[in-house]
Amino acid sequence: MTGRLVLEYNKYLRRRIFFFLLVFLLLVIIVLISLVSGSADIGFRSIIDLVAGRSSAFASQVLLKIRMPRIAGAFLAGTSLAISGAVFQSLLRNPLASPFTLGISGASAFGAAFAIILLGAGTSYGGSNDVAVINNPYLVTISAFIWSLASVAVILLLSGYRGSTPEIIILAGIIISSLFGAGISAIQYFSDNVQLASIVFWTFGDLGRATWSNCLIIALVVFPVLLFFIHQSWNYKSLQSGDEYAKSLGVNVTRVRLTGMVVASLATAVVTSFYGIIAFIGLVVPHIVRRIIGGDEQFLIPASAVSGGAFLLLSDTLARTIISPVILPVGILTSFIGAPLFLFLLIKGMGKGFWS
Amino acid sequence: MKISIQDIEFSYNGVPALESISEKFGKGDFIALVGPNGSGKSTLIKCLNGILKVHKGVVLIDEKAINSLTPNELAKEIAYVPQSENKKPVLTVFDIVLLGRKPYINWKPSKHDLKITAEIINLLHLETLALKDFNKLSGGQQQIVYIARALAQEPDILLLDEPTANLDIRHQVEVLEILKELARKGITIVIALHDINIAVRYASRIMMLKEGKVFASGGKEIINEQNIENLYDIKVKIFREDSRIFIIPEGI
Repeated sequence: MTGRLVLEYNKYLRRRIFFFLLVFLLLVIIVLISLVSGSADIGFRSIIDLVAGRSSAFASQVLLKIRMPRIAGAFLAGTSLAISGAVFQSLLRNPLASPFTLGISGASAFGAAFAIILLGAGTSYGGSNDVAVINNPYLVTISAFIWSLASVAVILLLSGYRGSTPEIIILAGIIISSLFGAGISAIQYFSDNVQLASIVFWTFGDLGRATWSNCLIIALVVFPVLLFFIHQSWNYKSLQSGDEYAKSLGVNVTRVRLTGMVVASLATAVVTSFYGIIAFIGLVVPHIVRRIIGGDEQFLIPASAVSGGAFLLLSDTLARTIISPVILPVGILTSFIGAPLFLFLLIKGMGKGFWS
Repeated sequence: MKISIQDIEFSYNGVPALESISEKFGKGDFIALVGPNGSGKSTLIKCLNGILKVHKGVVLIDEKAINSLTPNELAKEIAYVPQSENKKPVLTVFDIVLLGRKPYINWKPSKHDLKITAEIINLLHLETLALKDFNKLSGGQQQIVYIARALAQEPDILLLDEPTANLDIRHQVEVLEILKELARKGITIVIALHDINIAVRYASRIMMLKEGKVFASGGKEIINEQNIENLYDIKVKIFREDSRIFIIPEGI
């Protein structure tokens, strides 16, 4: 009798694993499409040639130096933002939470701009569409991370108050975002033309700046973060039922929440410091995944990781091709997709609970 | 498992909520905490498993002070069923009950955890609901799932805070029959209850709390008109039929 029940449950879990595999398959397809999309005429043939080691210098240049790092960057950034969003939502029991809506992205962006312009971590070159060249990526990331912690502190302080609703927390996040937005504007105001152009270009997320070296730095942060989150997933799951209940299960609520928020901010900060603010990925992806496989963090976090990567890569591929040859910064596209969904969630949540 | 409460005190921001409470409960006791709103029933329950840290005194389980155990060790001895919970993300009943295995799980449930979960689901006759979305269940069914989740911790002590508050009388009786059976198996039950009639009918011991102090404590002998009238500040009439006691409110 009990054996049958366990079997049925395991069969039920297979649905979640199936979803994971499905997204993985989609990811492979999107990667292939992304490799052959773009203004340079490179088809599947060139990819096969590249693998076989007989591709033209031009094709291998475009694939290895431009398209592949961009694909890797999109995947890593999407993964990072999606798992941060999923964890923020669980820790704050707030389905509207995400790196962007909590103001963490905005704070990171400010921290990065601060390091580039005021701490001299970047050098600007003149040129038509050139951006600031970051010559000290660690300083930029660290500054982005430290500033992101400022907004984490505000969020945690506010959520500690009795009667703070999910809406109030998000309102605070929007206030934090606009505050740091004003900070970025202030830095812009005092910078010269070239710097100005670079920051403006940089405040909306763009994956055009992906290089193998910044992909490597992001990967070195994202993979340990992902493992940490998976390891913590049962703690996060306990928190869903309220702090007091989680305590009765032996969870150190304060420590779990604090470390989770800080680690998720780090993952957001490292992405934002290289690629700028990519809005709503961290909100949309965990939300869709929750809808499909349910709110079990043990599955939600890895599934969000793969889905986030696939979703941002798809968005970026669209952004590159939708009004080709113009390449749209992906942040603009994700905002167009994410903002209406955010509004929808807000309205839906007014009447009844947010979660289902 | 025995519980010994020794002269505990607790206050919220300087406002005393519990004062000089001392009690001893034995294995398999079914203790009902009764008293008006704000008398400290929930607070006392939360002090018993360390969710709230007492400011004075000590709570012992089987002669061990609860603050000498790690939170995880304590969670294997004492399970807690909270008063009410917010709406949850979509999870199945099996997922919710499995959550009770948390103190035994590091990052992934073992086969044994799944087996225990299935056994408890069968014990409480939840098999047909096991893979249903928890949010789609009725209030009474959800409450039974919460008890199942607590039992998955394999506790010796079960603390419940108003588990029947939102239930119709049939489900109230169903929940209390389950608890009575658990007490018979040796689990010590401490339950905060609003309904004094239900408390009298099921509990082996009654602890009356008023303004954070023990007003009266003992078996059915403490149920008399004077005690109830002083406890709740209303007029009551008590009828006895065989060994059954019925308390009827008469007016203010």
